[in-house]
Amino acid sequence: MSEAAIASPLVGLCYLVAGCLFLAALLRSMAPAPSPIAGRIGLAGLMLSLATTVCTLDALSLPEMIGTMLAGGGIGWLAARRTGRGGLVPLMLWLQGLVGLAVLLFGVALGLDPDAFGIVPGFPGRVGIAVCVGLGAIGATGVVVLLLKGRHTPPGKRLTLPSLCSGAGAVAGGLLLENWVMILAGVMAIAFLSAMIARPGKVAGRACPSSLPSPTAAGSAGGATP
Amino acid sequence: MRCASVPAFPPLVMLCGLLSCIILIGALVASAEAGRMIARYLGLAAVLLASTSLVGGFVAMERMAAASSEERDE
Repeated sequence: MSEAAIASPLVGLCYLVAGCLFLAALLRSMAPAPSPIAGRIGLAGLMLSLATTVCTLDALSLPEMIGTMLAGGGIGWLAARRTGRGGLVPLMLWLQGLVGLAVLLFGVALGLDPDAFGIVPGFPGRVGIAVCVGLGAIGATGVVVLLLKGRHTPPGKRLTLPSLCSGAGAVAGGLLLENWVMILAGVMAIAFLSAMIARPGKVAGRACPSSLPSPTAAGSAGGATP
Repeated sequence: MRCASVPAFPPLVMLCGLLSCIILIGALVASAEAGRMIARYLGLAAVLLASTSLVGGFVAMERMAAASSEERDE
């Protein structure tokens, strides 16, 4: 990302609008009478931040990156559409494991070419990379362990614990890249997740509506949607 | 997608989407700025995983919300 692009007030404004949209959607979804369009508003905010990032990158491999994003989005869409209703909660846990794996790969990429990112050897450079890789590994393996062994853990808590690792990994990565968007968003996610851990009953109820089949019955309920 | 019947998006899933998005932003920057080919491809792999999680999470949540709404209507 070029320095001029980062410093541009228009880029800052786009990130600010994206953040406000997401925060508004999050608060509306937490209200006693949640708005049906809250998810769409949040998704619009995330898409705006992604589009701003892509526009500010001065990379030759831009078509490669956009193609990879479209391919990943297509895989996620297909996986979510073709999974049976009973398998949706475990699917979301697996998807959170993929985020942990992404943090791990991101940390390894930074570690393989630290000079390109201006990461200095020693503290905090190498330590930050190790933290990023470690948190990514914990997030990814934690999901597998929770899926296999944590059947008695509430689904909300199972989703929250690896998310915290991914959030902390994102903050570490943001500090290494000196990317304030990653740092602020990661801190916000960690703050909200910590608040939710303090109220586990509410988290479990929201993450897994009571009318859905239990995640433990996912294996028998899985299958293609009509 | 049955958008009209979606009652609400649980905030926890929205936070998971936010995490996917910020990792995606970091992976995009990493793959754009990486000098070595292997680092670039690792960054692209991270982009693939994070975008899978972002879209999959939101579509899954819409289906969950639609399912619970349908059952409530019945």
